[in-house]
Amino acid sequence: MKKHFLLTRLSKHANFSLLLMAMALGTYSSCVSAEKAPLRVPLTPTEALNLGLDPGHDGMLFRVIQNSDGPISSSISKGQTLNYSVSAKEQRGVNSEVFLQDTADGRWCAVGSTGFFADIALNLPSASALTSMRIWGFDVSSSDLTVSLIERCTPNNQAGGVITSVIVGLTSAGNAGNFSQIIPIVANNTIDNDACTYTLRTRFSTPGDGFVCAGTSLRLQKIRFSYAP
Amino acid sequence: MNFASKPIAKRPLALLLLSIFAVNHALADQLSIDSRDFIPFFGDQIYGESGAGNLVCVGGNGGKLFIAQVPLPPTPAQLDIRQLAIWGGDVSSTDASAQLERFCQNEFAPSTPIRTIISNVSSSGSGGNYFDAAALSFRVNDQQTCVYMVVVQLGLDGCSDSTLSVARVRVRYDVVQPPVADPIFKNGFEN
Repeated sequence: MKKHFLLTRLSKHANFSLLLMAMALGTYSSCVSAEKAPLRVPLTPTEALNLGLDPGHDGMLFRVIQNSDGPISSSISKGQTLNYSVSAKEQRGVNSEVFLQDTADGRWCAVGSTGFFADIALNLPSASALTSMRIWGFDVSSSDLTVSLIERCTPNNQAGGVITSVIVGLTSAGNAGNFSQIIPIVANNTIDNDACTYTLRTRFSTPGDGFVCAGTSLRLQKIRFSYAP
Repeated sequence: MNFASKPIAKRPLALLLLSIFAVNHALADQLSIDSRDFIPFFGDQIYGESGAGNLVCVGGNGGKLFIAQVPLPPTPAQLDIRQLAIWGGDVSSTDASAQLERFCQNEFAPSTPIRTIISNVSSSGSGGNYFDAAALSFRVNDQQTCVYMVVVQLGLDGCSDSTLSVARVRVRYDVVQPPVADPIFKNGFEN
């Protein structure tokens, strides 16, 4: 009798546990689906060109809509996020016609290059959530540089086209010398190393300036990400 | 009532938390190397991007080899590599391949690097987007003496231009022994 009573109680608790787990999973999945649905819009042909992407790859290029009132790293309590810094010296030209040079004051794209984009691979732990991107640089040019965080995903474990999404972008402002700017990342910010890769693309000129690099007057020094592990 | 002595089966919240803990701490992990992370094997190689943003080599007789480091977790993490996979585009008469390699040297003395080829995956046919994967069981516990690289080859006899590209290479692994979070704690009990 006592054994039966214990089994019944255990069964009730197990059912309750299952119910709680189901509720938690349900809440999680509804959050995920609610979060993913409206966040990406297709890139316009001009936006694609400005990022060095082929607008002919129509239907595979997207821009993530970031909520501008999201938290920035300085507003998040210490201990809740980690930082990951990337040196601009890790940059590789998008093609062999991009001539990069650097000093301690930053890395720039030499005048005379016929390409003006450079990339850095971003390796962050799986499932970590990015919260902000801050860039440091030097700008005494009439041109500006833009750093964009780009996600590239393929179907998992099968052949398929690459879906490219620009998660966030920052453009240097003014020409007063050293600068540092930050932008929050609140949408599509979870690292998925199984299906996607993450790279940082820098454009060393303002769109419309023609196919030129701005040279030594426009330099990238460092990029730092805050993320919740 | 002594809560600690209560059987765990009678604590639904504990069961729930344990379940969530078990789900969130799976030992399987992976890393992906984007095509934009590969650098030319030789300095004078001509390369570029396809319309999809994949790595292509340029110039029929130009270099066709590109290389990237695989940023595996450092020692003391012990890993079992489980899969090497490649994605890209292939409408060429030749194929693209990715080779996972290890280069090891003596830990404290000069030595010639010893190269070990761990696995190889490649495109086949010319049907457009491709995917290939190789299952592996390769133990990694030598990160202090070895570096792991992926070498990509675009074409067999020469560079095949934009008809052959690599989008990304993925390495899946199991973490056999997670890193020790607190070395002082470890030293206090093991040394």
